Amino acid sequence: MESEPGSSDKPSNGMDDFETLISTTDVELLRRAWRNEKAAPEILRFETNLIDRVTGQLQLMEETVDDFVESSIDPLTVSLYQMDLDRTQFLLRSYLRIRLQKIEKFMFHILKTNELHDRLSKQEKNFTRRYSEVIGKHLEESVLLNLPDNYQSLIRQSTTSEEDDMVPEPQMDTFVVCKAREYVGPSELQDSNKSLASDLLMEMEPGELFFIPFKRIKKLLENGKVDLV
Amino acid sequence: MYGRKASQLVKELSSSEKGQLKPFNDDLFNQVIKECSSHHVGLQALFRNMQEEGLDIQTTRNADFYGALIHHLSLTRNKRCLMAYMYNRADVIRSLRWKLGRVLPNELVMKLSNSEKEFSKGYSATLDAYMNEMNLDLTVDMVPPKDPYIQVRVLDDIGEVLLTDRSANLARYSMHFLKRTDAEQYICQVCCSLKLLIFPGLINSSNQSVALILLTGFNGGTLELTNGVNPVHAFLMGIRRLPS
Repeated sequence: MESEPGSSDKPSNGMDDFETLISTTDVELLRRAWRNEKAAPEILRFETNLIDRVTGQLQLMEETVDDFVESSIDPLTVSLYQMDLDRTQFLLRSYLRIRLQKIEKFMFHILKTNELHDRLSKQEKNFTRRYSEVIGKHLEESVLLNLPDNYQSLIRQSTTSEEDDMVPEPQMDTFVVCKAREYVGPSELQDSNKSLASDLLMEMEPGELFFIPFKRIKKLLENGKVDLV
Repeated sequence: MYGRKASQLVKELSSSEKGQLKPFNDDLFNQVIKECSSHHVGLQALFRNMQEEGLDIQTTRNADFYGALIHHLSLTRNKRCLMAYMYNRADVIRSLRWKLGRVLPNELVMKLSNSEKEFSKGYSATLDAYMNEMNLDLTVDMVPPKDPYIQVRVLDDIGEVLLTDRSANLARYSMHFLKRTDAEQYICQVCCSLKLLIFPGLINSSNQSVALILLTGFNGGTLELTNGVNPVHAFLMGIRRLPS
Protein backbone atom coordinates (compact mmCIF):
# COMPACT_ATOMS: atom_id res chain seq x y z
CA MET A 1 0.00 0.00 0.00
CA GLU A 2 2.55 2.56 1.11
CA SER A 3 5.83 2.84 -0.62
CA GLU A 4 8.95 2.77 1.38
CA PRO A 5 10.29 6.28 1.72
CA GLY A 6 13.77 5.26 2.74
CA SER A 7 14.35 2.59 0.14
CA SER A 8 16.67 4.83 -1.81
CA ASP A 9 19.45 5.04 0.76
CA LYS A 10 21.05 1.68 0.21
CA PRO A 11 23.43 0.69 2.96
CA SER A 12 27.03 0.33 1.98
CA ASN A 13 30.03 -0.30 4.17
CA GLY A 14 31.22 3.23 3.87
CA MET A 15 27.93 4.50 5.11
CA ASP A 16 27.91 2.46 8.29
CA ASP A 17 29.10 5.34 10.40
CA PHE A 18 26.57 7.62 8.86
CA GLU A 19 23.84 5.06 9.40
CA THR A 20 24.55 4.66 13.08
CA LEU A 21 24.62 8.42 13.36
CA ILE A 22 21.25 9.02 11.78
CA SER A 23 19.70 6.00 13.44
CA THR A 24 19.90 7.90 16.69
CA THR A 25 17.29 10.44 15.62
CA ASP A 26 13.76 9.85 16.73
CA VAL A 27 12.43 9.96 13.20
CA GLU A 28 14.72 7.13 12.24
CA LEU A 29 13.63 5.20 15.32
CA LEU A 30 10.03 5.82 14.39
CA ARG A 31 10.67 4.57 10.91
CA ARG A 32 12.21 1.44 12.34
CA ALA A 33 9.28 0.90 14.67
CA TRP A 34 6.87 1.50 11.79
CA ARG A 35 8.68 -0.95 9.52
CA ASN A 36 8.82 -3.62 12.19
CA GLU A 37 5.17 -3.14 13.04
CA LYS A 38 4.21 -3.31 9.37
CA ALA A 39 6.03 -6.57 8.75
CA ALA A 40 5.33 -8.41 11.99
CA PRO A 41 2.26 -10.67 12.07
CA GLU A 42 1.53 -9.94 15.73
CA ILE A 43 1.25 -6.64 17.54
CA LEU A 44 4.53 -5.37 18.97
CA ARG A 45 5.17 -3.34 22.08
CA PHE A 46 3.91 0.23 21.79
CA GLU A 47 6.83 2.66 21.69
CA THR A 48 5.41 4.92 24.37
CA ASN A 49 8.45 7.13 24.97
CA LEU A 50 9.31 7.41 21.31
CA ILE A 51 5.79 8.39 20.31
CA ASP A 52 5.65 10.98 23.08
CA ARG A 53 8.91 12.50 21.90
CA VAL A 54 7.87 12.47 18.25
CA THR A 55 4.53 14.11 19.03
CA GLY A 56 6.35 16.83 20.93
CA GLN A 57 8.82 17.37 18.12
CA LEU A 58 6.04 17.51 15.54
CA GLN A 59 4.41 20.30 17.49
CA LEU A 60 7.69 22.18 17.65
CA MET A 61 8.17 21.72 13.92
CA GLU A 62 4.69 22.98 13.18
CA GLU A 63 5.41 26.08 15.21
CA THR A 64 8.71 26.58 13.41
CA VAL A 65 7.02 26.33 10.03
CA ASP A 66 4.36 28.81 11.15
CA ASP A 67 7.06 31.19 12.34
CA PHE A 68 8.82 30.87 9.00
CA VAL A 69 5.65 31.69 7.14
CA GLU A 70 5.02 34.73 9.30
CA SER A 71 8.53 36.06 9.00
CA SER A 72 8.32 35.43 5.24
CA ILE A 73 11.40 33.30 4.85
CA ASP A 74 12.21 31.84 1.44
CA PRO A 75 9.18 29.72 0.42
CA LEU A 76 11.47 26.92 -0.73
CA THR A 77 12.91 26.55 2.75
CA VAL A 78 9.43 26.55 4.21
CA SER A 79 8.23 23.94 1.80
CA LEU A 80 11.19 21.71 2.61
CA TYR A 81 10.40 21.95 6.29
CA GLN A 82 6.76 21.33 5.51
CA MET A 83 7.62 18.23 3.54
CA ASP A 84 9.75 16.91 6.36
CA LEU A 85 6.90 17.56 8.74
CA ASP A 86 4.38 15.86 6.46
CA ARG A 87 6.53 12.78 6.13
CA THR A 88 7.03 12.38 9.83
CA GLN A 89 3.35 12.90 10.39
CA PHE A 90 2.56 10.25 7.84
CA LEU A 91 4.89 7.82 9.60
CA LEU A 92 3.24 8.48 12.92
CA ARG A 93 -0.29 8.14 11.57
CA SER A 94 0.55 5.06 9.58
CA TYR A 95 2.19 3.47 12.63
CA LEU A 96 -0.90 4.05 14.72
CA ARG A 97 -3.19 2.89 11.92
CA ILE A 98 -1.35 -0.38 11.42
CA ARG A 99 -1.63 -1.06 15.11
CA LEU A 100 -5.35 -0.36 15.11
CA GLN A 101 -5.81 -2.73 12.19
CA LYS A 102 -4.01 -5.47 14.06
CA ILE A 103 -6.04 -4.82 17.18
CA GLU A 104 -9.27 -5.02 15.20
CA LYS A 105 -8.22 -8.25 13.60
CA PHE A 106 -6.93 -10.09 16.65
CA MET A 107 -8.92 -8.34 19.33
CA PHE A 108 -10.25 -11.34 21.21
CA HIS A 109 -6.87 -13.00 21.10
CA ILE A 110 -5.23 -9.87 22.49
CA LEU A 111 -7.88 -9.47 25.18
CA LYS A 112 -7.36 -12.96 26.57
CA THR A 113 -3.55 -12.89 26.31
CA ASN A 114 -2.13 -10.65 29.02
CA GLU A 115 1.26 -10.50 27.38
CA LEU A 116 -0.22 -8.98 24.24
CA HIS A 117 -2.63 -6.71 26.06
CA ASP A 118 0.26 -5.21 28.03
CA ARG A 119 1.87 -4.17 24.76
CA LEU A 120 -0.89 -1.69 23.96
CA SER A 121 -0.84 1.97 24.84
CA LYS A 122 -3.40 3.32 27.27
CA GLN A 123 -5.45 4.77 24.43
CA GLU A 124 -5.25 1.54 22.49
CA LYS A 125 -6.51 -0.37 25.50
CA ASN A 126 -9.50 1.95 25.64
CA PHE A 127 -10.04 1.47 21.94
CA THR A 128 -9.85 -2.31 22.29
CA ARG A 129 -12.35 -2.33 25.13
CA ARG A 130 -14.83 -0.09 23.33
CA TYR A 131 -14.46 -1.84 20.03
CA SER A 132 -14.88 -5.29 21.55
CA GLU A 133 -18.11 -4.08 23.14
CA VAL A 134 -19.36 -2.72 19.83
CA ILE A 135 -18.55 -5.74 17.71
CA GLY A 136 -19.54 -8.16 20.46
CA LYS A 137 -22.94 -6.53 20.74
CA HIS A 138 -23.33 -6.50 16.99
CA LEU A 139 -22.55 -10.19 16.58
CA GLU A 140 -24.65 -11.16 19.58
CA GLU A 141 -27.71 -9.28 18.45
CA SER A 142 -27.58 -10.41 14.88
CA VAL A 143 -26.43 -14.00 15.23
CA LEU A 144 -25.61 -15.43 18.62
CA LEU A 145 -28.77 -14.66 20.56
CA ASN A 146 -30.80 -16.32 17.81
CA LEU A 147 -28.94 -19.59 18.20
CA PRO A 148 -29.71 -22.36 20.72
CA ASP A 149 -28.35 -21.83 24.24
CA ASN A 150 -25.29 -24.04 23.93
CA TYR A 151 -24.11 -22.27 20.81
CA GLN A 152 -24.23 -18.65 21.91
CA SER A 153 -20.60 -18.16 22.85
CA LEU A 154 -18.68 -15.57 20.89
CA ILE A 155 -15.37 -17.33 21.25
CA ARG A 156 -16.36 -21.00 21.14
CA GLN A 157 -18.35 -22.85 18.55
CA SER A 158 -20.39 -24.61 21.21
CA THR A 159 -20.18 -25.41 24.91
CA THR A 160 -18.63 -28.77 24.04
CA SER A 161 -15.61 -27.15 22.40
CA GLU A 162 -12.55 -27.70 24.52
CA GLU A 163 -10.79 -24.50 23.57
CA ASP A 164 -11.59 -21.08 22.12
CA ASP A 165 -11.95 -22.15 18.54
CA MET A 166 -13.56 -19.01 17.15
CA VAL A 167 -10.70 -16.62 17.94
CA PRO A 168 -8.43 -15.66 15.06
CA GLU A 169 -4.76 -15.69 15.99
CA PRO A 170 -1.79 -14.26 14.15
CA GLN A 171 0.24 -16.68 12.05
CA MET A 172 3.47 -16.83 13.98
CA ASP A 173 5.26 -19.12 11.53
CA THR A 174 4.74 -16.80 8.61
CA PHE A 175 7.95 -15.89 6.85
CA VAL A 176 9.41 -12.44 7.25
CA VAL A 177 12.44 -10.72 5.82
CA CYS A 178 14.78 -9.45 8.48
CA LYS A 179 18.13 -7.81 8.72
CA ALA A 180 20.55 -8.42 11.54
CA ARG A 181 21.77 -5.38 13.44
CA GLU A 182 24.49 -7.25 15.25
CA TYR A 183 26.03 -10.71 15.28
CA VAL A 184 23.57 -13.42 16.26
CA GLY A 185 24.91 -16.83 17.19
CA PRO A 186 23.29 -20.18 16.32
CA SER A 187 22.05 -20.72 19.87
CA GLU A 188 19.92 -17.59 19.75
CA LEU A 189 18.28 -18.72 16.55
CA GLN A 190 17.17 -22.09 17.90
CA ASP A 191 13.55 -22.90 17.55
CA SER A 192 11.91 -23.30 20.93
CA ASN A 193 11.08 -26.81 19.77
CA LYS A 194 14.59 -28.23 19.79
CA SER A 195 13.59 -31.74 18.80
CA LEU A 196 13.18 -30.54 15.24
CA ALA A 197 15.94 -32.31 13.38
CA SER A 198 15.46 -30.15 10.33
CA ASP A 199 16.37 -27.10 12.35
CA LEU A 200 19.35 -25.70 10.50
CA LEU A 201 22.19 -24.28 12.47
CA MET A 202 22.74 -20.77 11.29
CA GLU A 203 24.18 -17.49 12.39
CA MET A 204 23.66 -13.92 11.34
CA GLU A 205 26.26 -11.35 10.52
CA PRO A 206 25.37 -7.66 10.91
CA GLY A 207 23.59 -6.30 7.84
CA GLU A 208 22.73 -9.70 6.41
CA LEU A 209 19.25 -10.32 5.12
CA PHE A 210 17.27 -13.41 6.12
CA PHE A 211 13.99 -14.91 5.10
CA ILE A 212 12.85 -16.75 8.16
CA PRO A 213 9.71 -17.74 10.12
CA PHE A 214 8.67 -14.93 12.39
CA LYS A 215 8.56 -17.03 15.56
CA ARG A 216 12.26 -17.79 15.32
CA ILE A 217 13.35 -14.16 15.39
CA LYS A 218 10.58 -12.93 17.68
CA LYS A 219 12.88 -12.72 20.70
CA LEU A 220 15.66 -11.13 18.66
CA LEU A 221 13.27 -8.51 17.37
CA GLU A 222 12.13 -7.70 20.89
CA ASN A 223 15.77 -7.30 21.96
CA GLY A 224 16.47 -5.05 19.00
CA LYS A 225 19.03 -7.42 17.49
CA VAL A 226 17.25 -7.67 14.15
CA ASP A 227 14.97 -5.41 12.13
CA LEU A 228 12.17 -6.46 9.87
CA VAL A 229 12.26 -5.20 6.34
CA MET B 1 -29.44 -30.39 2.39
CA TYR B 2 -27.93 -29.42 5.71
CA GLY B 3 -25.66 -26.40 5.58
CA ARG B 4 -26.42 -25.46 1.99
CA LYS B 5 -28.23 -22.24 2.79
CA ALA B 6 -25.44 -21.11 5.07
CA SER B 7 -22.88 -21.76 2.40
CA GLN B 8 -24.96 -19.67 -0.01
CA LEU B 9 -24.60 -16.78 2.42
CA VAL B 10 -20.85 -17.14 2.43
CA LYS B 11 -20.77 -17.53 -1.35
CA GLU B 12 -22.63 -14.29 -1.64
CA LEU B 13 -19.80 -12.68 0.33
CA SER B 14 -17.04 -14.15 -1.75
CA SER B 15 -18.72 -13.43 -5.07
CA SER B 16 -19.12 -9.74 -4.34
CA GLU B 17 -16.33 -7.44 -5.35
CA LYS B 18 -13.73 -6.65 -2.75
CA GLY B 19 -14.78 -3.77 -0.54
CA GLN B 20 -18.28 -3.86 -2.02
CA LEU B 21 -21.35 -4.32 0.07
CA LYS B 22 -24.43 -6.17 -1.10
CA PRO B 23 -27.78 -5.56 0.58
CA PHE B 24 -28.10 -7.52 3.79
CA ASN B 25 -29.72 -10.83 2.89
CA ASP B 26 -32.42 -10.84 5.54
CA ASP B 27 -34.41 -13.70 4.07
CA LEU B 28 -31.60 -16.20 3.69
CA PHE B 29 -30.09 -15.16 7.00
CA ASN B 30 -33.31 -15.91 8.87
CA GLN B 31 -33.71 -19.20 7.08
CA VAL B 32 -30.30 -20.29 8.32
CA ILE B 33 -31.17 -19.22 11.84
CA LYS B 34 -34.35 -21.29 11.60
CA GLU B 35 -32.37 -24.23 10.32
CA CYS B 36 -30.16 -23.92 13.40
CA SER B 37 -33.17 -24.15 15.69
CA SER B 38 -34.53 -27.19 13.92
CA HIS B 39 -31.11 -28.86 14.18
CA HIS B 40 -31.21 -28.20 17.88
CA VAL B 41 -34.67 -29.73 18.21
CA GLY B 42 -33.53 -32.77 16.26
CA LEU B 43 -30.42 -33.06 18.38
CA GLN B 44 -32.33 -32.97 21.64
CA ALA B 45 -34.92 -35.47 20.41
CA LEU B 46 -32.17 -37.96 19.62
CA PHE B 47 -30.51 -37.44 22.98
CA ARG B 48 -33.86 -37.98 24.70
CA ASN B 49 -34.27 -41.23 22.78
CA MET B 50 -30.92 -42.38 24.05
CA GLN B 51 -31.71 -41.42 27.61
CA GLU B 52 -35.05 -43.24 27.49
CA GLU B 53 -33.22 -46.34 26.36
CA GLY B 54 -30.98 -45.90 29.40
CA LEU B 55 -27.81 -45.36 27.38
CA ASP B 56 -24.90 -43.21 28.46
CA ILE B 57 -24.54 -40.31 26.02
CA GLN B 58 -20.82 -40.00 26.68
CA THR B 59 -19.89 -43.51 25.64
CA THR B 60 -22.65 -44.94 23.46
CA ARG B 61 -21.96 -44.97 19.76
CA ASN B 62 -25.19 -45.98 18.10
CA ALA B 63 -27.29 -44.66 15.21
CA ASP B 64 -28.91 -42.03 17.41
CA PHE B 65 -25.57 -40.74 18.56
CA TYR B 66 -24.24 -40.28 15.05
CA GLY B 67 -27.50 -38.67 14.00
CA ALA B 68 -27.11 -36.20 16.83
CA LEU B 69 -23.50 -35.63 15.87
CA ILE B 70 -24.56 -34.70 12.33
CA HIS B 71 -27.02 -32.22 13.76
CA HIS B 72 -24.36 -30.78 16.03
CA LEU B 73 -21.81 -30.43 13.26
CA SER B 74 -24.36 -28.85 10.91
CA LEU B 75 -25.24 -26.40 13.62
CA THR B 76 -21.66 -25.36 14.30
CA ARG B 77 -21.06 -25.09 10.58
CA ASN B 78 -24.08 -22.85 10.19
CA LYS B 79 -22.86 -20.79 13.09
CA ARG B 80 -19.45 -20.37 11.49
CA CYS B 81 -21.06 -19.33 8.22
CA LEU B 82 -23.37 -16.85 9.90
CA MET B 83 -20.51 -15.37 11.89
CA ALA B 84 -18.31 -15.19 8.81
CA TYR B 85 -21.08 -13.40 6.97
CA MET B 86 -21.57 -10.82 9.70
CA TYR B 87 -17.89 -10.45 10.50
CA ASN B 88 -16.77 -9.89 6.94
CA ARG B 89 -19.55 -7.42 6.32
CA ALA B 90 -18.47 -5.64 9.48
CA ASP B 91 -14.98 -5.49 7.99
CA VAL B 92 -16.29 -3.73 4.92
CA ILE B 93 -18.33 -1.36 7.06
CA ARG B 94 -15.19 -0.50 9.01
CA SER B 95 -13.26 0.21 5.85
CA LEU B 96 -16.07 2.49 4.69
CA ARG B 97 -15.63 4.56 7.83
CA TRP B 98 -12.02 5.11 6.84
CA LYS B 99 -12.81 5.90 3.24
CA LEU B 100 -15.99 7.92 3.47
CA GLY B 101 -15.93 9.50 6.88
CA ARG B 102 -18.48 9.55 9.66
CA VAL B 103 -21.66 9.75 7.65
CA LEU B 104 -22.37 7.05 5.13
CA PRO B 105 -24.36 7.90 2.01
CA ASN B 106 -27.97 6.79 2.06
CA GLU B 107 -27.47 4.28 -0.70
CA LEU B 108 -25.08 2.40 1.53
CA VAL B 109 -27.09 2.71 4.71
CA MET B 110 -30.02 1.06 2.93
CA LYS B 111 -27.92 -2.04 2.45
CA LEU B 112 -27.24 -2.51 6.14
CA SER B 113 -29.24 -4.40 8.70
CA ASN B 114 -30.34 -2.56 11.83
CA SER B 115 -27.63 -4.11 13.89
CA GLU B 116 -25.08 -3.17 11.26
CA LYS B 117 -26.22 0.44 11.36
CA GLU B 118 -25.64 0.42 15.10
CA PHE B 119 -22.26 -1.18 14.60
CA SER B 120 -21.29 1.42 12.05
CA LYS B 121 -22.15 4.21 14.47
CA GLY B 122 -20.48 2.44 17.35
CA TYR B 123 -17.30 1.86 15.40
CA SER B 124 -17.21 5.43 14.23
CA ALA B 125 -17.60 6.65 17.81
CA THR B 126 -14.87 4.27 19.01
CA LEU B 127 -12.48 5.50 16.39
CA ASP B 128 -13.35 9.12 17.14
CA ALA B 129 -12.73 8.55 20.82
CA TYR B 130 -9.32 7.08 20.08
CA MET B 131 -8.37 9.91 17.74
CA ASN B 132 -9.51 12.44 20.34
CA GLU B 133 -7.37 10.82 22.99
CA MET B 134 -4.40 10.85 20.64
CA ASN B 135 -5.32 14.32 19.42
CA LEU B 136 -4.57 13.22 15.87
CA ASP B 137 -6.77 12.61 12.86
CA LEU B 138 -5.71 9.24 11.48
CA THR B 139 -8.04 9.18 8.50
CA VAL B 140 -6.04 11.75 6.55
CA ASP B 141 -2.61 11.05 5.14
CA MET B 142 -3.44 7.55 3.95
CA VAL B 143 -0.69 7.56 1.35
CA PRO B 144 2.90 8.68 1.80
CA PRO B 145 3.16 12.36 0.94
CA LYS B 146 5.09 13.20 -2.18
CA ASP B 147 4.64 16.92 -2.54
CA PRO B 148 3.30 19.26 0.12
CA TYR B 149 1.18 21.04 -2.48
CA ILE B 150 -1.39 19.71 -4.89
CA GLN B 151 -3.40 21.22 -7.67
CA VAL B 152 -7.13 20.87 -7.27
CA ARG B 153 -10.21 21.77 -9.19
CA VAL B 154 -13.31 22.63 -7.24
CA LEU B 155 -16.40 20.72 -8.29
CA ASP B 156 -18.95 22.52 -6.17
CA ASP B 157 -19.26 25.99 -4.76
CA ILE B 158 -17.47 26.01 -1.44
CA GLY B 159 -16.93 29.70 -1.00
CA GLU B 160 -14.39 31.48 1.10
CA VAL B 161 -12.40 29.13 3.31
CA LEU B 162 -9.64 29.73 5.77
CA LEU B 163 -6.59 27.62 5.02
CA THR B 164 -3.63 27.23 7.32
CA ASP B 165 -1.55 29.83 5.52
CA ARG B 166 -4.13 32.05 3.84
CA SER B 167 -7.77 32.19 2.86
CA ALA B 168 -9.01 31.19 -0.55
CA ASN B 169 -12.21 31.47 -2.48
CA LEU B 170 -13.06 27.97 -3.62
CA ALA B 171 -15.59 28.84 -6.30
CA ARG B 172 -16.97 26.17 -8.55
CA TYR B 173 -14.63 25.02 -11.33
CA SER B 174 -11.85 27.27 -10.13
CA MET B 175 -8.40 25.82 -9.89
CA HIS B 176 -6.10 26.15 -6.91
CA PHE B 177 -2.71 25.20 -5.71
CA LEU B 178 -3.29 24.16 -2.11
CA LYS B 179 -1.44 22.56 0.70
CA ARG B 180 -2.17 18.87 0.60
CA THR B 181 -3.25 18.78 4.22
CA ASP B 182 -5.69 21.62 3.57
CA ALA B 183 -7.23 20.05 0.51
CA GLU B 184 -7.49 16.60 2.00
CA GLN B 185 -10.29 17.43 4.37
CA TYR B 186 -12.45 18.61 1.48
CA ILE B 187 -11.62 15.61 -0.60
CA CYS B 188 -12.64 13.33 2.22
CA GLN B 189 -15.92 15.05 2.93
CA VAL B 190 -17.63 12.97 0.32
CA CYS B 191 -21.10 13.36 1.66
CA CYS B 192 -20.95 17.07 2.14
CA SER B 193 -21.39 19.56 -0.58
CA LEU B 194 -17.70 20.05 -1.14
CA LYS B 195 -16.09 18.49 -4.12
CA LEU B 196 -12.58 18.79 -5.29
CA LEU B 197 -10.90 17.09 -8.13
CA ILE B 198 -7.23 16.45 -8.04
CA PHE B 199 -5.50 16.38 -11.35
CA PRO B 200 -4.80 12.73 -12.01
CA GLY B 201 -1.43 13.38 -13.48
CA LEU B 202 -0.20 14.69 -10.18
CA ILE B 203 -1.02 11.57 -8.34
CA ASN B 204 -0.07 7.99 -8.81
CA SER B 205 -3.16 6.23 -10.13
CA SER B 206 -2.75 3.33 -7.74
CA ASN B 207 -3.13 5.38 -4.62
CA GLN B 208 -6.18 6.16 -2.68
CA SER B 209 -6.41 9.87 -3.21
CA VAL B 210 -7.63 9.27 -6.72
CA ALA B 211 -10.28 7.01 -5.35
CA LEU B 212 -11.50 9.61 -2.93
CA ILE B 213 -11.70 12.18 -5.63
CA LEU B 214 -13.61 9.92 -7.92
CA LEU B 215 -16.05 9.35 -5.14
CA THR B 216 -16.82 13.01 -4.95
CA GLY B 217 -18.21 12.75 -8.44
CA PHE B 218 -20.88 10.31 -7.51
CA ASN B 219 -22.77 12.75 -5.36
CA GLY B 220 -22.39 15.77 -7.55
CA GLY B 221 -23.19 13.96 -10.75
CA THR B 222 -20.02 15.20 -12.35
CA LEU B 223 -17.92 12.12 -12.31
CA GLU B 224 -14.69 12.71 -14.07
CA LEU B 225 -12.79 9.57 -14.81
CA THR B 226 -9.09 9.37 -14.40
CA ASN B 227 -6.75 7.02 -16.13
CA GLY B 228 -5.80 3.68 -14.69
CA VAL B 229 -8.35 1.30 -13.28
CA ASN B 230 -7.64 -0.27 -9.94
CA PRO B 231 -9.76 -2.19 -7.45
CA VAL B 232 -10.71 0.98 -5.68
CA HIS B 233 -11.99 2.40 -8.93
CA ALA B 234 -14.03 -0.72 -9.47
CA PHE B 235 -15.44 -0.30 -6.00
CA LEU B 236 -16.45 3.22 -6.82
CA MET B 237 -18.02 2.28 -10.09
CA GLY B 238 -20.06 -0.18 -8.10
CA ILE B 239 -21.38 2.59 -5.94
CA ARG B 240 -22.40 4.54 -8.96
CA ARG B 241 -24.51 1.70 -10.18
CA LEU B 242 -26.65 1.75 -7.07
CA PRO B 243 -30.30 2.54 -7.43
CA SER B 244 -30.81 5.93 -5.86
